[in-house]
Amino acid sequence: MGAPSHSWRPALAVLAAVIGVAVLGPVLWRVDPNRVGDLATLRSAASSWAHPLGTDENARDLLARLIAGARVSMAFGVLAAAVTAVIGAGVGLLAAVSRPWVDRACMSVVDVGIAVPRLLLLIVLTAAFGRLSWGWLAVAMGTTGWFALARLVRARARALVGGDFAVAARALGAPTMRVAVRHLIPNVTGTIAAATVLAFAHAVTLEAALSFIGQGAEIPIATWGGLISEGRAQIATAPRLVLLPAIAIVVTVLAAGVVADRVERGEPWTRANGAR
Amino acid sequence: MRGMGAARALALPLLRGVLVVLVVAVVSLVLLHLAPGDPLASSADDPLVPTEARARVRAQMGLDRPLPAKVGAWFAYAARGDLGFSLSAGMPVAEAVAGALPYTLRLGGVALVLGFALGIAVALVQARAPESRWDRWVGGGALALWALPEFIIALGLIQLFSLRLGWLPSSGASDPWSTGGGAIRWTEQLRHLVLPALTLALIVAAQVSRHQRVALREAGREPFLRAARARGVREGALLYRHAGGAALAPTIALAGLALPALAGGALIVEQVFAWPGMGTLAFKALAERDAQLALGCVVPMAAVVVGGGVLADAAHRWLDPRRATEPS
Repeated sequence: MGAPSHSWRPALAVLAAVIGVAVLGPVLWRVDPNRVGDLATLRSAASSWAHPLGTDENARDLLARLIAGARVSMAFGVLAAAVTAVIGAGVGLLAAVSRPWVDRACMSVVDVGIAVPRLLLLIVLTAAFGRLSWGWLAVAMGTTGWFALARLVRARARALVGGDFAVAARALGAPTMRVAVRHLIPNVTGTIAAATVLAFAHAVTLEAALSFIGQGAEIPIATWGGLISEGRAQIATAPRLVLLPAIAIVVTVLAAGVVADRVERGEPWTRANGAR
Repeated sequence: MRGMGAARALALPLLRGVLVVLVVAVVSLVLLHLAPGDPLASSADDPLVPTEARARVRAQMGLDRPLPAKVGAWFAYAARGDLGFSLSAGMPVAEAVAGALPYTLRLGGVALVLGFALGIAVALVQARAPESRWDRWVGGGALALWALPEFIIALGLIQLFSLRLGWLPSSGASDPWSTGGGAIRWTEQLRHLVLPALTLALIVAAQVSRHQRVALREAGREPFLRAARARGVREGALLYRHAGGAALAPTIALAGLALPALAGGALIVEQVFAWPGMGTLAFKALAERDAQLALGCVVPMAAVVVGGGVLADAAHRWLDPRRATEPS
C-alpha cells in the first residue's frame, strides 16, 4: 500500500477503538439491537437522546445495531485471520525447511489456491454444507485465504535459511526443527503479522459483501453488510442507515491496511538481517 | 525461433492450468460427496414417496455410487459437455452456464480493459511529477478504493448515476421492454453495462496504478533510460515510449494475478446489479441448494480464471525477452 507512513498511528488507534467497541459493546451501550420500538411510531426516526444515531424502519436503535455488527465483523475477521496465519505460516515454514519434494508439494497446493478465486471455494463449501454458521464461515474463509501468506513466509524463510545465523546454528548441530522454531520464526513474525492484518481486512470486506447479498453466515443479529442491505430501501429518506455501516466497514478496512503496510515496512529485524 | 519458444513456453503453463482446474473439480466433488444430504433430500425424502421409488431415483442419478465412481462419471460426462441436470433451473447445467457465462465474460473483459487503461493512464500522469501533491492524492485515492468493498462502490454509483442523475440503468443487462433493433438495442445494452463494469474497473485501476507507478520508477533507473536521456530524447517520449514500454511487461503479469480477485468481485457485483451472469447463477444455485448447478458454475469459472492467468503469463514472457529463457 502506498500509504503515507506518518498516518499509521491514527490508523492503529482506529483499529484498536473498533475492536474495543466490539469487545465492550453491550457494556458501553445497553440497548438491545433487536428490540423493535414503539409500534405506533414504527418508522425510521432521526437522532435523539434515546437513539443518538436514530432508528431503522423497525424503530430499532441504529447505534446498538452498529455495535452488534462490529462484534460480528471483528470476531469474524480475527478468527479468519488467525486460521489464515496458522495454516499459512505453518505451511510456509514447513516448505522452507523441508526436503525439496515436501516443498514442491506444499507449493503446488499454494499455486492451485492462488489461481482460483476464493469465492468459488466458498461457493463449493456452501453448496456442500448449506449456509454456514458465522464461526464455520470464518474458518472456511481462513482455510481458503492462506495461500498467499504461505508463499510469502516461505520466500522470507528461505532467504533466512541460507543466512549466516541459520548456517551457524546448523553448524553447531542444531536440528532442523530447532533452527525453524528458534531462528526462523522470530525473524518472520513481522511478515506474518503484516499478512495477518491484511487477511483480517480481506475477511471483514468479504463477510460484509456476502451478508450484503444475503449469502453471509446465518446470524440472527445485525451485521454491517446486512445493515446496508436493509437500509437500502430507505436510502432517499434516511441515508445514514446505509452511510454509517458503510463508513464503519471502510474505516476499519482502511485502518487495517495502513497498519499492515507499516508493520511490513517498519520491520527492523528483517532489515537488519538483510532478508529480502 | 521465437515462435517455437513461445509455443513451448505456453505448453507447460497450459498443462499446469488444466491440472489446477481438474484439482478444483475433484476437490469440489469430494466435498459434495462428504456433505450430508443430497439433491433429493427435499423432494424424494418425502415420507409419502415409497422407499423403492426413492432408491430407484437415487440409482438413476448415480447418488448411491461410491466416490470414485461419482468422480469418474462426472468427468466422463463433462468431457462430452454434459455437466448434469439442474433441478432448480429445470434445464441442463451446461445450458444454464452457456446462457450466463457470456455475460460474465463481457462484464469481466470490459472491466479488465477499462481498469488497465485507467490505471496505466493515472500512473503515467503520476510519474510525470513524482512526490507532488497530485501524486500523493492519487495514491491516497487508490488506497481508499482498495478499502472500499465492491458492493459499496456499486451502491455509490447507482445512487449517483441512476437515482440522482437518472443517466444510467441500475439493474439487468438489457431492457426487457425494449423493442428497438440494431443500434438502439446495442446502445441500450451498453448503457446497462456501464455501471457494473465501472465498479470493477475502478478496483482494477486502483491496483494497476499502484503497480504501474512502482514499475515505472524501477524502469526509470534502468541504464537504457539513462542512455536515451543522454542521447537527448525528450522527457515526454522517455516516459511514454521507453519507460512505459519497459513497465508494460510487469503490468501484464499483474493481469494474471488480478484475475482471481476480479472474478470474485464480478460474482458479487453481478448480484448488486442483477446482471444475469455466473455470479447470479451460482448464488441462485446456493439459495436453491442445487449442488449440481453450483458445481457447474464453479468449474467453468475456475477454468476461465486459470486460462486467463496462463495467457497473461505467456504474454508477459513474450513481451519481456529476459523472462522468456527463465524456467516456468
